[in-house]
Amino acid sequence: MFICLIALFAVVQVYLLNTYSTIGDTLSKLNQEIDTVEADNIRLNQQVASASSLSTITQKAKALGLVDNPKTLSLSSPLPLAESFHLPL
Amino acid sequence: MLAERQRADTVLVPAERGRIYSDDGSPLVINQKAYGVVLEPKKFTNKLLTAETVARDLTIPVATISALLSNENAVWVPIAHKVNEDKVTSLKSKKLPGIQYLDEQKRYYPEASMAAHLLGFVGKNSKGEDQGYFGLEGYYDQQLRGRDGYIHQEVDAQGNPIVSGDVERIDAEDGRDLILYLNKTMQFIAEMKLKEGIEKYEASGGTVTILDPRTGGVLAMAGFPSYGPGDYWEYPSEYYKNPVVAGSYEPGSTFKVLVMAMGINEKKVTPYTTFNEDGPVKIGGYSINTWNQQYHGQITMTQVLEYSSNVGMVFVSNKLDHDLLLRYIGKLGFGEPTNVDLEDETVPGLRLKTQWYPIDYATVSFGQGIAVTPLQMVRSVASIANGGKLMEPHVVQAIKLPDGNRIDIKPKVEQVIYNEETTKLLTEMMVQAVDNGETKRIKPSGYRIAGKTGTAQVAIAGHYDEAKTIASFVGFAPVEDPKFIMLVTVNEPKSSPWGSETAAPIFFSIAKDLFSLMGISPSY
Repeated sequence: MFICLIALFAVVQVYLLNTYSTIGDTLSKLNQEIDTVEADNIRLNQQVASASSLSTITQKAKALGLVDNPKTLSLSSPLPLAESFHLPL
Repeated sequence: MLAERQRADTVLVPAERGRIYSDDGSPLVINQKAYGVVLEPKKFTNKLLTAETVARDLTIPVATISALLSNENAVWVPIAHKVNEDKVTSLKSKKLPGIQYLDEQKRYYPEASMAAHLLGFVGKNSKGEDQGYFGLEGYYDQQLRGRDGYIHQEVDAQGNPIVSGDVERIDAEDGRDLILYLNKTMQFIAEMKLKEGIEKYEASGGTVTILDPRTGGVLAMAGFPSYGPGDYWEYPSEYYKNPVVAGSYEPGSTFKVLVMAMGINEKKVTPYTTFNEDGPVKIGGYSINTWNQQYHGQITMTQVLEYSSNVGMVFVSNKLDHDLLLRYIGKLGFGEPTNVDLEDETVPGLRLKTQWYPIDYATVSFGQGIAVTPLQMVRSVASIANGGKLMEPHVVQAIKLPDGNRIDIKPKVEQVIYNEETTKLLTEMMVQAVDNGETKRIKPSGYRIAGKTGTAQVAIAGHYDEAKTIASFVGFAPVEDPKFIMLVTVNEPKSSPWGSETAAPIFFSIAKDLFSLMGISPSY
């Protein structure tokens, strides 16, 4: 009985080691895929940051014919001197 | 040991350096993929072809490559670090044996050279590791760099990991991200207008500093000449120093608002106190004049600021006890670092009390005989804008941890300088100075802006240069509830020496854009 158990464990161990021996190759491939996806992520982040930068937007706006804000026109006239003098008496 | 190396492999897991974002989460500094290129000469099939191809694709002189390969016994020859992905892709496509590519990262600046002085750059230290220098990269280097990890594991003959084998792992801890008070659009506007102004007024350089007076947060900080942090080695090293925190100058008439506030705070003068401005003031062997040699007779303290009267300020200074004047100057933070979170802050010292003579107490009242940095100057005037508090200036408002948690850095009140009534009175006096002084024709209509011009002579080798000035303008708005305070300095403008004709127009040009950006409506 004892010998049978040892034999069974030996068979199971051989089976498991045989199975795991090829998982390393799969693991390597998965790690490479992760590295590729991470690199793609970094590249895309960079492209988004570059496309949304103020210098890029300014250039594109100028190319589209947009101009700077025109000068602000004030419709009010300056306050009378007495009213503009806010210091307390 | 040879057997150990054959059956086990140690892989470095590099930490990603922390990123830097503006107040709205836009990236200012991120990381991009880069590579280290290493040659293994023993695996070459054609040494000359390999050297020429590598030299062409990486834009390195062939002679340099040849020199590195001159040792016949060399097995592993590093050629270049932080090579861009496009160059490596081109080189990889040639499929030449004997070339290895090591994963690295390098900084990427979406906004190019914007805010270079504030950001700093990443170079190498003596161990060849990435290290931040100047600005935020230098100050927060330890937080940004994180900690590399490693995996030590058993491998098979092909180098694949053995799942059931021994594994020792330390996870990498990525660097922390920084979230700034800096507003990207404000920074863009400040840099653009400053550059235009420097060219227009034929100046040698200049600065713009914009703070939130309520928190001390740095909304924008620009200085020229500047450099590009992505290729910092192409610029003279003297450009790396941030002139806002490490450049000193005599503030001139902008300092008058601080001394006037002292006089009002101590109830020595009021806005209505009168003084007879009838000519130069003699102190010891010296004569102090007005800047334009004009004298207006009986004037109020408000008019002293409107006319920017040096002799009027000597009157105020004489009302203050000398010890008290020096104590206020110390309380306002002059002579000491502001503790802003930038690596390169250096401040000019104050002379010892025993080295102050009567003429010095007189000249300091109009901002000569004392050296300050632009940051010291703007944050001290901010105490008038915010009800009397001296705030510790800060660039970073929060630090984001790799696990997503956020540490907010609370604004810090260093001390209370003036009482609130004093600040209200000074604010109105500064509004009058803008409305009725030298800037009355150029200020934007409809807005109440508190401000003061400054024109200071440049001190060189113990005397003042007659031809050169540092022109400046400091101001804040809207006065009812100030959202920003800004200081503009222009170094040695040739077209005109005066702050009212150089720094003030730059200030008002930026301010108009800030009003639109911040949705600040006209007051009348």
